[in-house]
Amino acid sequence: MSSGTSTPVIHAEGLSRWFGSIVAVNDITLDIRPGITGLLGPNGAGKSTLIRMIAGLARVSSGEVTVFGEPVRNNPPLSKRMGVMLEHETVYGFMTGRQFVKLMGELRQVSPLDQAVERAIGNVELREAADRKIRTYSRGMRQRIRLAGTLVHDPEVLLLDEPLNGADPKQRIRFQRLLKRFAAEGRTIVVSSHILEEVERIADTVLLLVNGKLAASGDFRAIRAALNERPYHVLVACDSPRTLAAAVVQLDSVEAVKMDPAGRIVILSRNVRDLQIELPKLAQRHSITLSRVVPLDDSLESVFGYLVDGGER
Amino acid sequence: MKSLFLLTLRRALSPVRLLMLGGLALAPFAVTAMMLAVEDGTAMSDFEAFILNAMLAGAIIPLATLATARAGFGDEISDRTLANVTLTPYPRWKIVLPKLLAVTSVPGLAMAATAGLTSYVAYGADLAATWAVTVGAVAAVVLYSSLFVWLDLVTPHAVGIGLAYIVVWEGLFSRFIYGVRFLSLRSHSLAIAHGVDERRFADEEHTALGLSAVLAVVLIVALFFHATRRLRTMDVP
Repeated sequence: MSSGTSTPVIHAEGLSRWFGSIVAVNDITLDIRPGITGLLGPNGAGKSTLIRMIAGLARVSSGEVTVFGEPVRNNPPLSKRMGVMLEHETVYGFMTGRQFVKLMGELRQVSPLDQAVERAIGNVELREAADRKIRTYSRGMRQRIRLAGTLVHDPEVLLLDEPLNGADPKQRIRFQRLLKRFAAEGRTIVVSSHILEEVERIADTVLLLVNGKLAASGDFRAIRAALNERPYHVLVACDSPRTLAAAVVQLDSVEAVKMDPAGRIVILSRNVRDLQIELPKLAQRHSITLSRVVPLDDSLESVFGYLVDGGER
Repeated sequence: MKSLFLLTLRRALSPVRLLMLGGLALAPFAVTAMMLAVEDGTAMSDFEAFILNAMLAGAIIPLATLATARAGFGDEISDRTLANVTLTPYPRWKIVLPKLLAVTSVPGLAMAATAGLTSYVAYGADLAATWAVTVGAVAAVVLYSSLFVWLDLVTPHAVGIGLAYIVVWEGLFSRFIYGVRFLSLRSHSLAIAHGVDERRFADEEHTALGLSAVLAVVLIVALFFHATRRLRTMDVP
C-alpha cells in the first residue's frame, strides 16, 4: 500500500501488536512518504499504538517498521531525525514554557540551542507566554508548547498523535498552516485524529484504521467520495411533519422518508450535504418550524463501519 | 546528562519528598537525644542495635530511598513523561546513570547528615565512629537506590513491593534467618561501617567487609546493567 511516488520514509510490513488476547494493531503494511498523512480512526482503533510503534516506543508483536530504512527500536540516533508528540500531556508543570523547550533541545543535542528554542516557540506563536510556568497554561497552550518541544530539533519526520486536542478554532487554523509549511519543506508528517473534518483539512493522504486494521488508505478525495455515497438517516422534528414529509420526498437528495411512532420524520439521504442546504429552505417555504434535526448514524464509527462493510461487499 | 541529572534532581526535591525526607532524617536524632536524656548510660550496643541497625539502616534509609527513587523513573512512567527522555540520541546507560546519581544524592546527603550527627552525639564526638556510621549510611543509600530505581523499571507496583521488601526481607528475614544476611543490603552496610571502624557493630551479625564490598559492587553493577537493558526493551508509556 503506498501513497505518492517518492521514496517511502516510513515503512511497515505486517505490523501487529497485541496485549494478551486484545489485538491493538493487526497486520498493517504501509508506506508513508514526505507530505502530510492523516491517520484516521475512531477511539480505540489502534492509532496511538501504531504511532508509538513507528516512534520505537512500543514493541511490535510481529512484523517490522523502519524509518529512513533503519529499525526504530533501540536506535537512539534516529530520534535526532524524528519529532514525536504523544497523545498524553508530557510536560512538566514546574517549568516555564521556554525551559521546557530548552530541555527538549538539550536532550536532543541541538546546537545552537537558544536560536532553536526561539524559532520553535515562534513557530507555535507562544513567545509572550514562554516565561510563564506551564502549570498556568490552558490546554491549548500546553499542546502548543509540546509542539514547540517536538519541533526544537528541526526533525525530518513528525509523528503527532491527536495534536489538536484542546485547540481552539484559531489555533487549529495556525496549526494547519504550520504543518502545510513543514510539508512543503519536504518533511514527512503523520497526524492522527478521530475527527474526519480535521484530517480532511490537513492531510493529502489518509490511512483509515478500524479495529486495529487498515480499512482504507490513499487519496483523501477518493475516500471522501466513497463516504458521500453512503446513505444517512436524519431525524427531523417539526410542527407539521406530514407537510414536510410530502415536500421532502420530492428532493433529489432524498431516497426515502418515513414517520416514527413519535410523529417525527426519518429521512434517508445519499447526499447529506445537499439535504443540509435544502431542508431549511423547504421548511421556510412551507412556514414549518424545525425543532430538531439530528443525524442518526453520523458517528465516525458508523462511517468507518460503512467503509469496512462496503469494502467487503 | 547534566539536563537529565537536574530534571531528576528537581523531581526528587519536590516539597512532599523534602518533607518526608526531613521527618525521616530527624527521627533517629530525636530518638537518640531522648535516649541520652532519659537514661544515664545508654549502652553503645543498644544504640547500634536499635537506632543504627534496626531504625536507620533497616527502616529510615530504605524508606527515604524508596520515596526518592520514584523520581528516577517511577514518576515519569506514571505521568507518561518518560518518552521525553527516551526519545533522545543518548545511549540508554547515559539516561540511567544521571537519574541514579540524582536520586542517590538527595537521600545520600540527608542520611549522611542524620547518621553523622546522631552518631557524633551518641559516641561522644568520636570522629572515627561517626565517620564509620556515615560511610555505612551512604553505602546503604547507594545500594537501596540502585535496587529501587531498577524496581521502578521492572514493575508498576514498585512502591508496594519495595515496602514489602523493607518490612519482610530486611526487617524480618535478614534479622532472624541465618544466611539471608548475605542477601541483605542492611547487613552489607553494617559490614562496611564495621570495616571502617572495627569497634562499631562488633556485636551485630553481618558479613565480612571484603565479601560485602564485592557483593555490593556486583549488585550495583548488575542492577545498573539490567535497568539499562530494561529501558531498551520496555514499552515506554
